[in-house]
Amino acid sequence: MVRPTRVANRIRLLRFSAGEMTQAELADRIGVTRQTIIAIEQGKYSPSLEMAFQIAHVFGVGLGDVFSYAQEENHR
Amino acid sequence: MSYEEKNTWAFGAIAPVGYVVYLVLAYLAGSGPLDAETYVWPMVWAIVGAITAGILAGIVIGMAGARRVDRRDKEIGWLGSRVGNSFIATGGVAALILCFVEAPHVYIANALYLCFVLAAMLQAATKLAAYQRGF
Repeated sequence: MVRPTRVANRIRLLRFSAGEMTQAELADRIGVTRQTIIAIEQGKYSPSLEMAFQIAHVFGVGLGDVFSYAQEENHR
Repeated sequence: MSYEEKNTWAFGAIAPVGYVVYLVLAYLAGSGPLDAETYVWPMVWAIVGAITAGILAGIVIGMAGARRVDRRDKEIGWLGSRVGNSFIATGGVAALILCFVEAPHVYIANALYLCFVLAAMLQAATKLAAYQRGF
């Protein structure tokens, strides 16, 4: 019924690269709960495109630098 | 645990507790939930009590922490509603069938209330599974 997302991400790494930004701080910057950041980092929630852009914007990188699709090789 | 997840736990617990309270009150007032003479007020009190308990739980949980609700909470809420509504529809169909066969109103009321409770429990279970396992 409920299936975790296939979208992988580098948010944890990017947070540490950005002065060890906390999950709560990132959550406040994009207006979501800390639990949502935890769920995204753990691959339990696939964020909306808008939220994905917001996260990438916080770190000043492109969307592809934050997110990747685990099965994308199979679709080429 | 987010505000909405805590609320869901409360919602999921209050619905079956409310139904148990209804059964206890119905047996205290008469011969049980199918007693046409006495079932109304136990059901009314159980429903009003469950709604009140839900509101109070929301206030207490909100006072204990942040009340932020984001898109993930809303999406999980929509998923829970879709699943829970299946039992609402089942209750409606059951009530229709009972009307068609001219069943006593006590059966219709009990079928509807039971389906409301099951819908609430299924909705809460779906939402909690989404919060815990992923969505």
